[in-house]
Parts: sequence; structure tokens; C-alpha cells
Amino acid sequence: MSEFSDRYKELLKYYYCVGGMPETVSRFLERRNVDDAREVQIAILHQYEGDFGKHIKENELPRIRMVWNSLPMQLAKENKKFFFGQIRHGARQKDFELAIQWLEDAGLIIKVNKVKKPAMPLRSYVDFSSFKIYMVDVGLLGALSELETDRVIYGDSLFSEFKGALTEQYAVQEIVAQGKYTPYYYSGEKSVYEVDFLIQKGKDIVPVEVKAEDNLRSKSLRFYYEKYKPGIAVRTSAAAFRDQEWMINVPLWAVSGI
Amino acid sequence: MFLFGLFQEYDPILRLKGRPESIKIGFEERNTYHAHRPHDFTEFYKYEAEG
Repeated sequence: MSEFSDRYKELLKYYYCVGGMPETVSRFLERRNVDDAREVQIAILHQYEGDFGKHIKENELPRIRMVWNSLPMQLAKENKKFFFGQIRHGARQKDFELAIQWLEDAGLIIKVNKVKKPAMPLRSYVDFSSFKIYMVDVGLLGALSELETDRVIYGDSLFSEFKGALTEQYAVQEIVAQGKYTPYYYSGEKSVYEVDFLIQKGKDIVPVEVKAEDNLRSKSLRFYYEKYKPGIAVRTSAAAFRDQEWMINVPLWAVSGI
Repeated sequence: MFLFGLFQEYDPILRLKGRPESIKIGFEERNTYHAHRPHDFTEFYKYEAEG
């Protein structure tokens, strides 16, 4: 198992760089070269930007570009909540609602809404004023962020903060790819703790905490567990599979199995 | 360069040429498009192993 695990962990680093866009994957596989993949990603990003201009009314265009270009900054924060002030000083939600909706409809972003309380059905408790926005693909996030691929593959302390962003991006992408779940998130009163994702799975609301490393402290998840006693709590991290009674740790490479 | 520009104007369907069939892109009445669905990690490592 450990042998497989090491292999998957290694491949996961490449997936963080290459992502899953079909042409990017194809090009990467030709020479196993992440720089080749990056070239395709940059081309895709240019095509997206070109398409903004083709299909959007002129007055809406700058807003869409501002939202799009702010995504790396939004995700680099410790708290990934979308903050309008990071688009431009004094920006208000109502001015950017259409832009965000367009990007979501186009399938270029994954919008994760906050829920006011973790109750069934989650959709009924959506707080429309708070959400997180991820890109559609982890490789495109790296390219838009101009993140050097060597830092991801060979490790670099300077990159450690953004690693959290890439890992959450990867996790949400895997959850969405299953086609069964809509991810939400939840934060307690006064945001004293936050659960990265909540998914409705059968009769359970499953809290999912995402950790970039094998750091096993899960203060927020524990807090949530003590308060709401979910049937199951999941942490996904670089650590191996572990069942701790109140919570199971799922390796990042296996997060699609949640 | 000129031809490239011409093709770009011709619209995104053209740029799909040569891409795997799994790419789903289509224009809707609202003039929005669906992005190409990214392969997930499971698909990625299968391709990696096969390649």
C-alpha cells in the first residue's frame, strides 16, 4: 500500500502542475514535461480571455476580467472567502454579481456557497452573500498565478502558503468531478472556526477538511464535530488513511473516494 | 499570423480540432459556453500509466 501511496503522491504533484484539461494532459504525456503543459495552459487562458470579449456585453467585460484576474489573490488568502475589496477598492457585490454568474455559467469557475447552518437540505440554507470561488482546473490556477512548476514538484518553503490554495482547488475539483455532490462550506459564529467543505451524502452532512501537508491538527473539524455530531467527518491530507473513530483521514490522492 | 487571427475570429469550435473527444463544448442560446471538462486525478494517473 505504501508503495502505491508514494507513487500516487508523486503523481499528485504532477497533477497539481498539469491539471486535467484534456489537451494539457495529452501534451504533457508526450514528453512528461510540465513546461509543455504550461504552454497549453497559457494558450487556454488566452483563449478564455479572447472569448470574454466575444460573448460579453462591452460594459460587463472589465468586471469579468477583474473577477477572473483576482482569483489567484482570493485563493492565496488563509480564508478563501471571496472578498470584493480584492477586486478593486470599494467594490460591491451587486456590481459584480453578473460577472460571477457569467463565469459560473460558462463553467470556468466553481462557486462554493456558505450555508447559514449545516442542516438538510443544505441548499435551503445557502447564504448568498458569502462564497468561495475556485477555478475549474488546478493546472489553470497555477498558470494564472504564474506559479513556477519546479516549486510544486520539488518543494519550496516560499510556495508553502499557496500550496493550501492548490490543495483546496484540487479537492473541490475532485468532489465536483464525481457529479454527485454540490460542495458548500460553513463557518461558525464570528468565524471562530471554518469547515472547508460540507457535502450532503445520503442522510449525512459530511464535513470535509483539506490539509496540504500531513499536519494532523484539525481544530476546526473537531470543533464542528463536537457541536453537530455528524455521522462521519473527513479530513483529507498528505497523511495515510487513518480511522480515528470520530474522523477518518483520507489521503489526498484518494479524495475522490469520499 | 494573419491566418491565425482569422481562425481566432472564426470561433472556439475551430480550436477544438485535435483535442480528445471528451472535451465538451457547446454554445447555448444564452451565448455562454461550457468549459472543457478537466480530467480528474484518477483519469490522469490512468493516462499516465498507459502513456
